[in-house]
Parts: sequence; C-alpha cells; structure tokens
Amino acid sequence: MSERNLDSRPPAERPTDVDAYVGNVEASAVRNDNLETLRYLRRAIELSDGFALFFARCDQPIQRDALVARLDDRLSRQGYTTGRLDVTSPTAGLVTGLQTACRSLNPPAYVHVCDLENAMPHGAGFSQSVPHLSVLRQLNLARDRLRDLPYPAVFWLPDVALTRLVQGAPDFWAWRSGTFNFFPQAYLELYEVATSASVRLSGSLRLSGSLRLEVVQAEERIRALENVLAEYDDLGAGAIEQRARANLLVDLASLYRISYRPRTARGRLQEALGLIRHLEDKALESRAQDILRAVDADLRTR
Amino acid sequence: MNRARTLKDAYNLSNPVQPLPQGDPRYVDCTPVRGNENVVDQMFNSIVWSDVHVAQLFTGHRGSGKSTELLRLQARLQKAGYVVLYFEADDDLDLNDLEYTDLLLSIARRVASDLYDACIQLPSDLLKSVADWFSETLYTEEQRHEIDRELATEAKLGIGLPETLPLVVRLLARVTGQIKTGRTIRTEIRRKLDPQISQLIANVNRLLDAAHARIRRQGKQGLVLLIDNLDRIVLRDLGDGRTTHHALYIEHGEQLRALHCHAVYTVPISVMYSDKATVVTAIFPDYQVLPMLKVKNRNGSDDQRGLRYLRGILASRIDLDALFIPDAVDYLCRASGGHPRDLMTLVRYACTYAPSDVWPRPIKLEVVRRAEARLVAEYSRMIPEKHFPLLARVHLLRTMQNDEAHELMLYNLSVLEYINGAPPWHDVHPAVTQLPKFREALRDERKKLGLTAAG
Repeated sequence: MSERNLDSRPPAERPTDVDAYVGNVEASAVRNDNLETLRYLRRAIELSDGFALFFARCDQPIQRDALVARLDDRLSRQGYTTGRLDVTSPTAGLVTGLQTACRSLNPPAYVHVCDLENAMPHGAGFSQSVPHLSVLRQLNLARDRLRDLPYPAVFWLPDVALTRLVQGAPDFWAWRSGTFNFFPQAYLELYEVATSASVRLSGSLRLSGSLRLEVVQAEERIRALENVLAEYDDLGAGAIEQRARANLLVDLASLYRISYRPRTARGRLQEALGLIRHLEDKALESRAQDILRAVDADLRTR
Repeated sequence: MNRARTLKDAYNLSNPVQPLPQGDPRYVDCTPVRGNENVVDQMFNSIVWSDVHVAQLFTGHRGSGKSTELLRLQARLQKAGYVVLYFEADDDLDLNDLEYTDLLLSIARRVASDLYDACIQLPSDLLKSVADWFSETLYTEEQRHEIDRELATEAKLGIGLPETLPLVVRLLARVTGQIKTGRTIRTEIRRKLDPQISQLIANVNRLLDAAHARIRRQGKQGLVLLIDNLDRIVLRDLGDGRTTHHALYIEHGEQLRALHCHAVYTVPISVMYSDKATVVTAIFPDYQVLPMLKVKNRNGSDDQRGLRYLRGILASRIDLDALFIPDAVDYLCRASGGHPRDLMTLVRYACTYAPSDVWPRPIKLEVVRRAEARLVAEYSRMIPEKHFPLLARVHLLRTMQNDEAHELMLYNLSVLEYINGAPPWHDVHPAVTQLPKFREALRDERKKLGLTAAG
C-alpha cells in the first residue's frame, strides 16, 4: 500500500478521501490467504447436505461483512440462498432465530450467525475459572435442537469470543465441521474490498453510505480495536493470541497514522514488530515495516 | 447404505453430529481395542443377571460413542423382553441448573407418558392419587384451580396435550416444563419438594411398581431407564469443594439408586477421576467407562490392531481405495488419538481440503496434514496455559492425578483414557503433542523427572 506524507500540507488541505490512500491497493484486496480460506469455507458449505456447524474466526466486523458478501455472491451464482442472524443482545432466542431464518430459505442454503460476541460478557470478567457463561451454556445445551436444522450455519466470531466459546461450550464446539481463520486486514484494504464493484454488499454491511474514510471513523475504529486488543490482556501469550495482537497493533498503527498521530502509530508498530519477530510472519513484518517507513517520513516532515 | 465414493458423500457419511442408530451398517464393534470389555454386554448382563434393580453409571469422553452404545443397549434389552425408556436428559431438564428433584420429576413424567404411549396402561386410581399428590404438594388450591381451568381450555382449543392423556401425564408435563424454563417457579417447586423427598420417591416408585406389574403381566421382563446426556450437566463450583456433578451423583446418589427399576445414568468422565471418585463408585459399584480406541501402546508404539479398527470405521462409510492413498488413512487414524468423533471431523476437514479435480485418491498426505493442522490449531484454543506442564507429565508418565485440573483435561479432551488390560492409562491427545507450548513443557518436565529425550 502506498503511504502518503500526511503532514506535507496544512491540516485543512489534508486528504480525507480514502481513495487518496488506496491508490495502489489492488482491486481484489482480500489477502490471498484469506481468499483461500474463504474458498475452503465455500467448499465445506457445498459439501454439506443438511446441518453442519462452521466457525469463521474474523476479528473485524467490516472484514467479516466483506467476506460474507463475497461468499454470498459466489454461492448465489450456484443457486444458494442465505440468511443472516445478527445477535443483538444476550437473549435466549438463538436456536429459534436460526429455525426461523431457515424456514425462509430454499435449498440449497446456509445461514450466517454474526455478533454472537455481543451476548458474551466482555473483558476482565472472563477467565478460565468461569467458562460457563450464560449464552455459552445455552449454546452448549441447545445443540441437539440445532441438529435438526436443514442447512449449514456459519458462526462468525472474533478470536477472543471463539476461544471463549471453545472453553465455555465444549459440547457445542465438539460438533464443528470446520473452523476457518481469517487474518485481520488493514481497514483501508477492507474498505476497498467492500466498495469494490465486484462485491454485492449485503444490506447489513456496516459501512457508511459515504465513500470516505474520515478521521472520525478512524478514531471510532481505533477505539474499537484498542478494546479488542485489551481483551487479549488475560488470554496469555499463545501463538494465536500473539498473532492476533500483532495484527491488531499493525492495523492500529495504520489508523493512528490516518488520524495524524504518527508518534502513537510508531509506538504501536514497535510493539507489533517485537511480537512479529517471534512469529516469523514475513508478510506482516513487511507490512509493518512499510507503515513504519511512512510514519518516519511523516515525522521527519513535521 | 452404499459406501461413499465421492468427496461429498464421504463428507456427509462422516457426520460427527449423529449417533448411529441400532443396526446401522456403519457401526463397528471396537470392543477388542477398547480394553476388551464390551460395555453393552457388561451393562446388559448387570441388568439381566441381577435379582434386584441395578443403577449403573456409564461414562466416556465426549464424542466417544456413548449414545451409540446406549442405543445398542436399548435394542438388545428390548430384544430380551425389557421395556426400555431411553431419553435425553436435556429434552426435559435445564442442565445449567439441575437438581436431583428435577431429575426425579422428569423420570416420573417419562414413566407416566412413555408407558401410556407404549400402551402400557397404569391403573387409573393410582394415576389419580399420584396426580393429586403432585398437585397438592406443588400448588396452592388457587393455583390448582387455575391449572385445571388452563388444562381444560387447552384441551378445548386443541392445543397442549390431548385431554385423553391421564391427568398425571399432563400435570407432570406442565411441572417439568416449568422447571426447565422458569427460574422462579423452579426454585419454588424445589423448595416444596425438598422436604418431601421420600414422598416424591415413593410416588415415583408407585408408578414404577405398577408399571413393572403390567409389564410382567404382558410377559416382559421389566422396565429399564436409560438416561443419556446427563454427562452434560454444567460443571459449577458450589463452594466447599462441592460441584454440581458431586451434588447429583454423590449427595443424591442414594436417591437415584432408590428407584424401583433398572437405570443407567450417563455421568461426566471427569467425575470418575475426581478426588471423590471412590465415593461415587461406592454408591454406584456398577459403572462402565467407554475408553478411546487404542491407536498406540503404552510405550508409544503403534497399536496395529487399533489402527485396523479405526480403518474399519472409515471403511464402513467410505470406499477408501477410491478416495484415500493408504498412508493418508493411517495418518488420520493416528491423528485422531482413537477418538471416533475427531476421526470423523478429520475426514470432513480432509474432504474440504482435497482437490476436486483429482481422481482417484484425491486425499493424499498433504491433504491430511492440513486437516491435522487445523485440528491442532483448534486444540490450542482449548488448553489453558497452566495445563501444559501437567499435560507433559501425563504424557511422560501415562497417568493422571485425581484433581480439578486433570478433571478439566479429561473434560476438554486434551487427555484421553485408554485400556489394554486393567488399570486404564492416559495420554495426551496427539493434536496437543504438536503444540509448541506442549513441547516446551515436555522438555522442562523431562529435565525435572531426570528423563532423557527418549525416556
């Protein structure tokens, strides 16, 4: 991705148009490894006759929505119909909601379940010693009712929430027919994907109607990502957690740069690079280094 | 049922979700590699040989095939002339919050309603007296009138249970519905039943005794309850070293044994390895554990017979020559740790990764390695950091402690139980052994125990 010297002009003239930042981003900007994972998810859905339980790990709602849209687009060409259940509160109606969603579909079909993490307690309240949180208990115990659903269900969850589910709803998890890990992508890339003409956006895609990624949006996303990062505080230093942290830190750095905070961006990048060295993720390291060079250039011209 | 010759069919015949019904051609009797003890035979014999009613516990890892074996036991008992009531506890009960009174109520309901469905008519005066007892014990006079009105209205409108059903069936259906869904009313019902526990058991036993008489009169042997999914009772700390599991099977084990019929209760495997295990087995001397299929020996070498049985499980569903290269089949069998559901899951993953434009034998080693890698990544989520040193020790010593941490390891399948002659031994799931953190912990434990790398 090309980085622009943000401070080379007065604030009033600084660009807010996302297109200015993504000029060099390829039109198909879903990372190749994510594209491959999406292909396997599609394959698993195609292979399934009747109910199957899939988990898609995706940390960013905007990325998830882009991936959902892309998947739906591809499968709709094969005649699939799809439903989506957004879990809005910690209520007990998940199975009923899924049954209702399925009734409105014609085969072949599948259902997305999004935002289940909204129904789980957040942050420091979670620990291994109390794995059985209410929504997880319900899921664990409701699994037999899911067996009769006519179509596959894809549960989209951020990494932290997926780990909670694994530990807190082991019987439910035991029925999985696949987990699909989507690695975080920079928001600008995602923005490009989501607005690409080749992707038909679902009605629930959480993009503003505007084609601009403005600083205020970057700030909102910074807050969201910082919260996600904080969720990792009590999750130990496993490889999965460290990779997620590194990706989050790089994304945050990119956003801090957009919001004209190059020093903070630099700090986040240094943290990220410290983690990446142990992960041996060349692609992520290269991306972090690119952003770091751009941030350093920003700082030099201030 | 034809064996799968396409990836799609293989995928769908390897469904990890459905227990196999009795007589399903996919069933493979794996007794010789499950410690040579046929759990169905054992439970069957305990019932048919006993002069008194036997309450047995049945346990095994999640996904080890308990429900499949219980369904086989049901069929075998029915063939031998028993009336068998099989039910999944979570159909009637809230396993988040279960107490023994709830379970006894559920049993009463099942006995009354399932026997009615099976055309075994219990005496109407007995049913009335039991219904009266429940009604008077659980409800005030005003509530009773209201319930009568509601039941009558439901019958008139054609909703709810039909009026032709005995009152006790409709009443107990209502009570169990309330204890499953209503927290306040559940507490209220328990508060009323707790001091009346001997009466409750006496009333349930009245139904069972009457049922037994009618069953015998029909030339049958007796009544057996098979209660599945009780092993999914949520494990919760109740303080003072008590858990929800201990509360049911230890504190109220005697009440569960007091029923006048044969019964098999499923129980979490972790209970049998808790520090209270000896108390549980003292209360329930008849218990069966369904271990993993042994894919390796205690010394770590391959168990060829176990691998052959696992191949047999796959071959009963899939034309292996058409879809797998032979090495890939063995690779998956080893990677499963002898855990049937994990084997099915691995097959599904392999089908997902297999190239669709290769035929025959699209499932090659690189495909199954990817499938295994996915399983390994999934196991990494299940294991708390502090378990790694303990897991390393289990792996080195092939044995485990009876404590809370090891209970959890059995519960989350990071440790599996095998039997090749008594006593059983334990090892870490093969997926866990691939995790870098485990390997690191293994190095440390080896040092602590003064073992060489090969030790």
